[in-house]
Amino acid sequence: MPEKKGAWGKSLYTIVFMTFLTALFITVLSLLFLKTRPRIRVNESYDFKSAVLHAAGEETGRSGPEALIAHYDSSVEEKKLPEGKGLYYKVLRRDGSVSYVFPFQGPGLWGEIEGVLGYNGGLTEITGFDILKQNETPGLGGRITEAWFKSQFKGKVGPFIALVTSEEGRDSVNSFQAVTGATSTSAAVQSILNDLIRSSIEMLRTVPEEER
Amino acid sequence: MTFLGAFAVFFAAIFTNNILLTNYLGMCSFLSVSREVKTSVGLGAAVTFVMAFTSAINWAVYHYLLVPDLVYLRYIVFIVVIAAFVQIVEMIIERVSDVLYAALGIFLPLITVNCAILGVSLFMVIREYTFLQSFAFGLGSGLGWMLAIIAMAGIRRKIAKSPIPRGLEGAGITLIIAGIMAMAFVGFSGMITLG
Amino acid sequence: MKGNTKKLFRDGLFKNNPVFIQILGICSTLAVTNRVKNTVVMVAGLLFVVALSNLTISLLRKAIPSRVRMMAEVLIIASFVIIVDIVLKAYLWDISKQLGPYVGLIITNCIIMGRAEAFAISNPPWPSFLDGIASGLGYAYVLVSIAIVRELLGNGTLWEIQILGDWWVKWTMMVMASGAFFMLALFIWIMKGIVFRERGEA
Repeated sequence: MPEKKGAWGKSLYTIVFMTFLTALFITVLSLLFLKTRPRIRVNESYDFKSAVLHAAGEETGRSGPEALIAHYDSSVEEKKLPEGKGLYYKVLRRDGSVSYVFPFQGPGLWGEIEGVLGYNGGLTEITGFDILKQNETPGLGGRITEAWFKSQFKGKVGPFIALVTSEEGRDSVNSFQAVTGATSTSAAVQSILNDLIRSSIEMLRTVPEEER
Repeated sequence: MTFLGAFAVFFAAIFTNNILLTNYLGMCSFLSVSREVKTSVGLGAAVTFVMAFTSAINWAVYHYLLVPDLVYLRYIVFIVVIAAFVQIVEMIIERVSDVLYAALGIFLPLITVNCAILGVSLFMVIREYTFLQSFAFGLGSGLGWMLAIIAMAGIRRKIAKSPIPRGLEGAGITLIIAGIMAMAFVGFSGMITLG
Repeated sequence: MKGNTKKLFRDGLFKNNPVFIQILGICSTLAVTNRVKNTVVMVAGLLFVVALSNLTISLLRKAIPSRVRMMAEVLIIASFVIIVDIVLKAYLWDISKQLGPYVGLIITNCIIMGRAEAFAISNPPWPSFLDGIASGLGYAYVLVSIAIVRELLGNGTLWEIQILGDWWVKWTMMVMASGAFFMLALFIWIMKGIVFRERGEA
């Protein structure tokens, strides 16, 4: 039965070929992945650390990832809110003042939005805002990660009453400028921030300053 | 998020965040198949079916096999799962029902390379949906895709006799209609927000 | 040989352009055309994948059993896409975050599969590689020009640098989904017009 044998041989060849091809590519990919993994890990932790420092109002400037991570490790202390209400970060700034940075997360238009919001030592004024994770539409809601959007929070006071769609209103301390065409995402940011302000920050205000 | 979350994802995937009209996924088959309502219904049904189940299977594969160390291989794994699922479904349908095979069978091979199917699996991972939400997202996206392609086929039948500039015939006019449809679908936003 | 190369490029870029003549592969990349920077990274990734997967498939064309041809092609393409993904994550972290799932969607881009099936599987490696580059470039310039118009009109910026002043009223529609559909339709219209005229003269 030469035909049958041929068919078997063919199947065997197919299986061997696919196995070999798969093994080859997976090996190459794994090697590449293992080689770049430390870099990716640094990128991932760098994101969080630089966001906390930004929110605290620290100039991170042009210092490389290593310098920034070192600065973070020496100046940031992780603390717990009373009653298990979550974490916050106490940042001892270069100029000697203190900032408190609160992580937040909540539902955006598409998925979770995660980020950090920083307050000054007296908890009276926002020192910075940064987004860590978002899955909003690229180029629309995704623009909440752009500098003009994030920097407008500095010096403002929450909770935020209204979204502003025109340039004029962006100086008001209780509102921020929405991303054009992404009203839902901007409204989501507003409600997440207000939730954070009403829970964590109000709570920290009840803690005596020296214990914060 | 709970059952309500899954429900919101389902409706958002059909209307406000229609995978075809907001993410342009599945354009290739959309442009080539939307000539007739009947074939559009067939392809739409096949896509919906495959999308719902592959997103559920890929959810399980991702969360139980790939997390945490093999995540970088997800593209290969997802596409293989989709291809294998399509193949199995094709074999089952062929044996079980001639009618169903005649209706859906010819569309199945087209599906493996439909961007929307893989897209749904990737979005589901990135948005960290739960199992139920992933299934709802797959089902909703499939239905949304079907809705768009059927509507398009209906409109294209109407405009077939209209005078269209030569350069716009076929793909061009279809894209313009899709653009207008996308604008109309924006009207749904605000109806549901995820959360 | 030289004439052939020229023909390959003329076909890929113009006469048989994957986007406006074959209407292929707009699925995944159209979504990121509201930002020039993202589009450039995306099409660079695509160019890399289409050229190298064409090359690899062509090298293996005699060894690939016909029954699992598609599977083997998908495997090769997916592997190159993962390489792009890993490299972006390690070296262009910011952009990789913005592109999100769209990098992975290069796998299902019909152009890559289409070129593999139509050309690489039956042609020697070097022409296949060039064919990949040619169709990749044909794809790239269409999408980048769409992205330039969309970002400029929709946002007043190019490569995230402010170009148009405050007097410019941003066309929000351009950055939204429908903008890409209209732009692509317009592009197809113009390009087909030119192609038709050439044919009319010839």
